[in-house]
Amino acid sequence: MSNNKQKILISDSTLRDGNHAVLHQLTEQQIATYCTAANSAGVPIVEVGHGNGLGASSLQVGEAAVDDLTMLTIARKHLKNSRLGIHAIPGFATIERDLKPAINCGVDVFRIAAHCTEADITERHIRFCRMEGKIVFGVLMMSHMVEKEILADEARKMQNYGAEGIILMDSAGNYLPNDVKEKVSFLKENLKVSVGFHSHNNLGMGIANSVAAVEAGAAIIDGCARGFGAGAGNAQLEVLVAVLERMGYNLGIDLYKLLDASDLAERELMEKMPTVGSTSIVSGLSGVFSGYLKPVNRIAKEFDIDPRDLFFELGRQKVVAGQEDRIIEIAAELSNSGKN
Amino acid sequence: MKKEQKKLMTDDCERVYSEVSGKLDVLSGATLLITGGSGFMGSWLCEMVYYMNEIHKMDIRLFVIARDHERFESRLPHVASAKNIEFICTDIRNVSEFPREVNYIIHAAANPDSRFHSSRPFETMSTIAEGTGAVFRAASLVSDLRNIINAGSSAVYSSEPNNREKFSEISPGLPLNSKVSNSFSEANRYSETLCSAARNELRLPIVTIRPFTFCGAYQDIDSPWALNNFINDAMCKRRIRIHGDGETFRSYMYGADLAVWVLIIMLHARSGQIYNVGNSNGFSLREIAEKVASCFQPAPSVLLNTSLTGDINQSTLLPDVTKAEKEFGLKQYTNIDTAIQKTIQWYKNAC
Repeated sequence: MSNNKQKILISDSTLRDGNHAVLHQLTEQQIATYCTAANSAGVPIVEVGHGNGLGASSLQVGEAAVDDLTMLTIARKHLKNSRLGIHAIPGFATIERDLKPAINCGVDVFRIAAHCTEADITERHIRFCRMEGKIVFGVLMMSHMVEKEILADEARKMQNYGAEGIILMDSAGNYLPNDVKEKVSFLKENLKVSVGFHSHNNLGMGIANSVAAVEAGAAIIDGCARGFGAGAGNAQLEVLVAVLERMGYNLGIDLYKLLDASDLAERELMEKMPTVGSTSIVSGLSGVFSGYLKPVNRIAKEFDIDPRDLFFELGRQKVVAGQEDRIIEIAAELSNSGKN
Repeated sequence: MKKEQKKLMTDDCERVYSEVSGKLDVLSGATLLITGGSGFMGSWLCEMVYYMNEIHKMDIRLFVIARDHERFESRLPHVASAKNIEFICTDIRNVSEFPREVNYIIHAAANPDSRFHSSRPFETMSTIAEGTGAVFRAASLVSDLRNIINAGSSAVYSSEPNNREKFSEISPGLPLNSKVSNSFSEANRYSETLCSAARNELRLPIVTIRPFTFCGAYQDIDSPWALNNFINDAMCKRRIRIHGDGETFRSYMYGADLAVWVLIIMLHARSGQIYNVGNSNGFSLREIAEKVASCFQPAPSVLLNTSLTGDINQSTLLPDVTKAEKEFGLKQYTNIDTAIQKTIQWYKNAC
């Protein structure tokens, strides 16, 4: 095993992104069970929460079965060594209502996220977490939507606000490895802090894109057990770890125990394994947020339209996460235009 | 402002003034105008002028320009209510004339916070470029103007990673760059050229200073400088975290020293000159963190390499201030240990 390779930090999003896959219905028992297994495997960071992060549980984006604080309290109890992470989008998450209680619950890593062109909205949240002495990463969601120069400008804002790393999210599963290399390496050249990558598997590129990110200099890589995440799922964590070990990276994770944790996740957390279904492929191609898969399928059925048409129209109109209301509006427009 | 804070300010002004009093005599009876009066530099200048008037009866008339009167009043209530001091509430870009009797102008109306530059790059550039232009136009109408200080920034220098050399006034500038991340640096570079243009066309006497890094009262504890972060960690009874290996080098000039340096340069420098202002005695962040820790009981531990990814970015930002020291006989009047202790005391008193 080579020691002179860039250190890679694995962040496990199973209990956050995976919540999308079960309409945010993960239970207290499931959270406790998986945290115990991930902790035992030595996973460095375990992210927990509603799919859209702290404070997001709502009628609009889905009500969670378990409230944020209960989730975090349970996770903290079962993560003895692993760091507890959260995802927070300013707007959903407020400092007083969400971040302060999260700090009191013992959250270690705060991932403050914004749409890829709106890093400005993260300033107060990042500053607050830094002043509280916490580890803070900035997250740029839907990062496929803009060119590398704009991403670098937005990432630099988060860096200047105090983020210790900037994670590019391929929220739509739209990237191909060359896109990843281009953007990650550009950010690496233009930032002082670490760069990370969070992939989705809509085009079957979850692992390939994560590897491309590492080869381009990324130091933080997200994955989910069995790929349990929004839409077609994420980079499959246990595969990711195995591949990176095969590449010579020492991740500090016990592979056997991680495989056990993944088996457990499949058995205990999932209604069904994420697959790259037809609409997921269209979702990836159209560049629409992976978390839209379930609502798009449901609404398309309601309006008797082809979900693939709905995805392409959402993509054409550049609809992003948080604009769930637009799905119904656009479905209605498509339905009406079909009738006319 | 609490009584303890006011005493701290008076003691600081007295201690530093006593070292340079002869060099400030010519300010007696003069009229001074400061833009950016509620910022760090502006506040310390106001404190020093207030002290000279109150204790040494120097009868300096002071006009202070800033956008936020409430902030000025809450930070410097004793200055705001002093008889020789008048506040003008306006955006510097909207200034069209100054009081006729003004003899000296210190133009310090720019926000040095890199977070502001990131979020508001247009506002950053506009304030510096248009603000400086407005100041020079207004200054050109003043009849007995003796000197203008344009407070620029050390951001105009080109920094190379791992280069431990100090920046002198003739060190290379940033490569030409139109990236938005350079908005503050480029605006300051523009303002320096604007100084030359105004000297030539408007016949104004202008001296540029390039401030480096500072500490002391009137700096928000959440300002994005390493020293503030360390003090905040220690005051919150946390271990002091250093992201890298602690071998990044910085220096800090204390606010009271800054005030007398700026005033003395303003009184004695020739038009057209440029001076670095700061402390040339650099320390590694590890040393600075240890100095902060030693001011607390129990002393917090200092953690190095806290980055989860092992990324290390070393950098050095140190001024060569030989030019100002030699020409005006200036020196550091507050050593780093005292500066850190006093800064901590200020924050503690503010709680």
